[in-house]
Amino acid sequence: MSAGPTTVNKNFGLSEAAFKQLQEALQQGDQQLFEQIFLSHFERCRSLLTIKYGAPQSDTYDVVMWSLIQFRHLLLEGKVAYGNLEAYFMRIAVSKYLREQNSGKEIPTATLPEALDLPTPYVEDEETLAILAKAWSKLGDICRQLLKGFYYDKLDLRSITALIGDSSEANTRQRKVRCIKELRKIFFELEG
Amino acid sequence: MKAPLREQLRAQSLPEDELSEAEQQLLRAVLDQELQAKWAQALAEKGVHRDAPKSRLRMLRPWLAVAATILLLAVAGWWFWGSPAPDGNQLLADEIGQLDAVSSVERSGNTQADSLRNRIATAYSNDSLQKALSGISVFIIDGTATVEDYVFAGICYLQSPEPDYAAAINAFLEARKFNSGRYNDDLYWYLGLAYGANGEKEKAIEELRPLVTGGKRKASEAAALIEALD
Repeated sequence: MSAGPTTVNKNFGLSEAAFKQLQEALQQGDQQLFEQIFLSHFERCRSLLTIKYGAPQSDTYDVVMWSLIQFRHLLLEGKVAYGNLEAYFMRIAVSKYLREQNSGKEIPTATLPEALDLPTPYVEDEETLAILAKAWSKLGDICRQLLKGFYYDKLDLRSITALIGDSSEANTRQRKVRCIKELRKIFFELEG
Repeated sequence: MKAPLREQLRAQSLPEDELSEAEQQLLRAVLDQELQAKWAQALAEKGVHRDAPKSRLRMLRPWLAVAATILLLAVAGWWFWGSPAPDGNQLLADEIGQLDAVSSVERSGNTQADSLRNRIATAYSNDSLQKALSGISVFIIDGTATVEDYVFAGICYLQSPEPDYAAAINAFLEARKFNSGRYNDDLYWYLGLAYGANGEKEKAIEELRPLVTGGKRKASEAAALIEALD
């Protein structure tokens, strides 16, 4: 029996060295390579969801996009090991898709991939999110770079100091406190 | 009334030098949205969009039902003076309707798998295409799907009461990756039909043309379809 063609490329065409390079670049705040590799597989992942699980094409865009975001977080946190990246990624996507379907779809459960413990969205409050998004957009560029680097890109203080062109890490640390204060101030003003 | 999360944030004694856990998660959600917007734009520049353009056939379906009745009467009279050039969409619909997925069901010698394939074929024969697709997905998921299974899935997607032409195209493209001599020519035909039904005229013609130039089976049908689509 022929091997399934989808099993041939298990790591999105990445060698182990290229994967490490990608992960290191991501951890240093450079996600260009990540985007180059994974966005080029976006349509393929949508297709796999459609073909394997009968997911309508219209649903697959959001699922794959969400999965990419989660995959990026997992890579940043060093929680993804090289080996079968594609299967791991698809487990995220399929788990998300099935959760959204709320088990309403007729799918042979015996053959589903092992369930993944996906992060439950903590933020269900869209209004609060919208206010924070607005506050964020009003925050100065340097503060945004600093807080994003610290809390989202998980950069170390030295990298952030270099990123924002600060004179010392101590300055950056103090600036961080001021940025947090400023963000809260704008947020609570907008929130009224 | 304020949302509980905001009340909670306001009520909390927040650390000065760190964002609280709740704030960090909120910020992460906002930045996730920013990143998604950026990626969506990058994808759009590559022609990848959230909503695929609706297929011409699907959009035209309600009108076709009405038009079909009127045309039936009008064309009946016309027919006696010679056949008009056939409409591309009608040709596509006719050809798709004539496909037979059961002919692609191949037994493997594995009793359990063959039993499932028999049930799939029965479901297809009974017009339970969704059931047939669920059955096929068992092989696809466990990595034992054959070229025949992908072809079968593609035909089911094409003939489904709610056809999914994009899924059909993907299934046929997966089948093509097997490079099976038995299906190479058939896949030109299937993909020609699927692309045509999906409104991708150029790709449809590109698939159909080798059948005509190579004098393959379905050459005359492919030529008629190219003419109708062109």
